[in-house]
Amino acid sequence: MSSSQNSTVTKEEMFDGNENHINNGNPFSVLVVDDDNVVRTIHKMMLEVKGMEVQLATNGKEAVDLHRVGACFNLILMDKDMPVMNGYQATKELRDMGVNCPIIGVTSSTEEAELEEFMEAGLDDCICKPLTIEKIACYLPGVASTSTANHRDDYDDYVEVEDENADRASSTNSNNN
Amino acid sequence: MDVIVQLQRQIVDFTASLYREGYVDDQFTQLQKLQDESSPDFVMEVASLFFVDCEKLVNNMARALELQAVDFKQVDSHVHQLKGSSSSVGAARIKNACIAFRTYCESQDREGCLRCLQLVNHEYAQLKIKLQTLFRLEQQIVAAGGTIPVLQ
Repeated sequence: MSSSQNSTVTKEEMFDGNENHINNGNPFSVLVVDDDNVVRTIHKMMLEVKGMEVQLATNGKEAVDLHRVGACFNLILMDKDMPVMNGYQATKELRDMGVNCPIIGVTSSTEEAELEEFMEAGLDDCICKPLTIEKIACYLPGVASTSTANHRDDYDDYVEVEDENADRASSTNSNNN
Repeated sequence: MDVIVQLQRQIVDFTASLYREGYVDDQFTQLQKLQDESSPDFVMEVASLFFVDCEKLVNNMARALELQAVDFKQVDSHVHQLKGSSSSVGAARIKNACIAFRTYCESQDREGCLRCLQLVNHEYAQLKIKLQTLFRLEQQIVAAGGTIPVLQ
């Protein structure tokens, strides 16, 4: 699910053709917005080992407040379901404020309708957790994409496990009786 | 040196069994790849954070399901969060249990939810024991002067 129509920054403007980021010599900065501490920790490390500078926000309001005081990022990774202000609301507010960097939704949701609604807030792309660098490689400088997998393949895996779960649940239940 | 080789063999076999038995998936491999000299305990730290979160969420689910009038949206929200964090650490069996759990929340099936809660609790307890064993083996190797082998 991809629609690079919302950020006004083109890839040509981001990189100088040699995958060197044009950012006045500053490191490529990413804002990770997620209410889950485990997820924030993992995403931060994934990006930092690739040389990105990472800032964290625990909900959409924190992300919006950062921009209100003048913070600026090259990429935002936005969780969907968060307390205080969710990813949909935060994305809408950021776009209304004129924030034009790529915003990628990162969610555990697999419902088509929910993902489409999230996209409508102004996302450039929406991916299912777990996040991997391959899934966002095209938005990161100096990171080659090696994956040919369709992001939506994650959904097919979820459908398959439902039957396995039903078996395991009834097996655990009978073992405990 | 024999001790180190033996420990390394044990770790490789044990890690392979974690994947074979579905406790962890490729996302766990991604976490291990992030661990290096500058962050030698990264996987253990993330696992510790995950276990704390998991316990908190399971307790929240249990309390919500005890109520006379169960708020299934609230239960679902806790399950959704656990699904996200478990998929991010590669805790495959917990993640899969959450997927089933959500369908029972959607159909507002209290008994189904309670069965799934039991399963989630069971899988969490199993994974915790397995990973603690793995980390103990890794610490033994490092203490003996060896390096931790990475399963390819």
